[in-house]
Amino acid sequence: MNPERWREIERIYNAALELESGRRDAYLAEACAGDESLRNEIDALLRNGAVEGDFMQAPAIEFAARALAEERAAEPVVTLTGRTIAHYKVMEKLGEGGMGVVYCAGDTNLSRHVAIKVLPNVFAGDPERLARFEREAKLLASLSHPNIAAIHGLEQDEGKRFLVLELVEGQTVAQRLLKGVLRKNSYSAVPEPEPV
Amino acid sequence: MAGDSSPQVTLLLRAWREGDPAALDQLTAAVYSEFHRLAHRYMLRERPDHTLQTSALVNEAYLRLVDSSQVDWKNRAHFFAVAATLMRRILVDFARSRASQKKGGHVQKIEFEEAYVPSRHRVEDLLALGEALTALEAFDPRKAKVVELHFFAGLTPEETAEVLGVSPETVFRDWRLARAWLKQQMKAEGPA
Repeated sequence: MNPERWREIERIYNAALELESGRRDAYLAEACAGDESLRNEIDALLRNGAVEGDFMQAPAIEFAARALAEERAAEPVVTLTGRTIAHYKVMEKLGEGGMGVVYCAGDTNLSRHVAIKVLPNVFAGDPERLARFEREAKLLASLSHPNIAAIHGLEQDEGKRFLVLELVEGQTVAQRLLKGVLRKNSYSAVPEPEPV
Repeated sequence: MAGDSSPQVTLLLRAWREGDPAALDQLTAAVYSEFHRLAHRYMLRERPDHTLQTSALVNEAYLRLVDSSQVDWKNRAHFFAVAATLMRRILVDFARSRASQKKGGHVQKIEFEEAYVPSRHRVEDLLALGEALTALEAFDPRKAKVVELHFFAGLTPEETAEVLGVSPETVFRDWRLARAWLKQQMKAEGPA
């Protein structure tokens, strides 16, 4: 851009914006005096400047942080199915939620099936989530009841923390509810809190 | 958390200004960790179209990075100018490296279509903006500086005016035209 031309553009652009929109056209026609490319350039700037929207409305660090957050959220889920972590051969995914992804796995040392639970990728590096994950493990380890899945261990492999849990075959409550209302006798086996 | 980092940042900025190249690496690391923390908080709390107190988040990040009580008032303008240039450099470098990673086939196979969330904030846009700003700087350095201070460093128009020693009206007009020109330039350069 030629600095002299730029100064000309700036002068006419600012002057046009001082006017009511109805008077701009006549002003621009006169100010540009038949210089069509100058007129086009100023018209384009006026159009781009007039459009509301979030272009450059928030500081750059916020823009960058959001871009990173949105990219991470859009990152495809990397499945563990087919991989071996520690001595567990990971099979199909059983479920997924905000707190973790649960897979069925084969314990190759003890030749039994287990469930393993890993943190979703997004949170894998989050110390707060990891701490909560460990609290969950310890809490589970402190409980013992036939209707609560037992925890076999809290393990780590390739930097990935995971819980090894008893594999419980059957339906989820949601699946069961689709078939009809639960009767008292079908859920009463869930332990009730002890009276304090 | 990283709350202890702010006084150090002030010293590092001074060292960088005085020509210590190692200070830049440390500054970059400090800004990066703040910025990842911000991104992380968006991921945890933010859902599309859910407006959070975003400017509060950014202000907090800025306060954590820059301990303004340690900056003497005479040097304040210079300090912010240096910080703004640094922010621009770091953020545009970030956008460049993310964009080239994506181009280089880093994106893994997509398992489910639903995993694909259309992004409203693309690093490519920040990169294109950085390039357009360099072009603007060549023929109108003051407008580029306004963009640097207001957009990259997050200063208010009044603070920007103070740093540049011009009136707030001038900042307003500079910003208005710079933004329109940058937007037009980005449209011309590639798919918007």
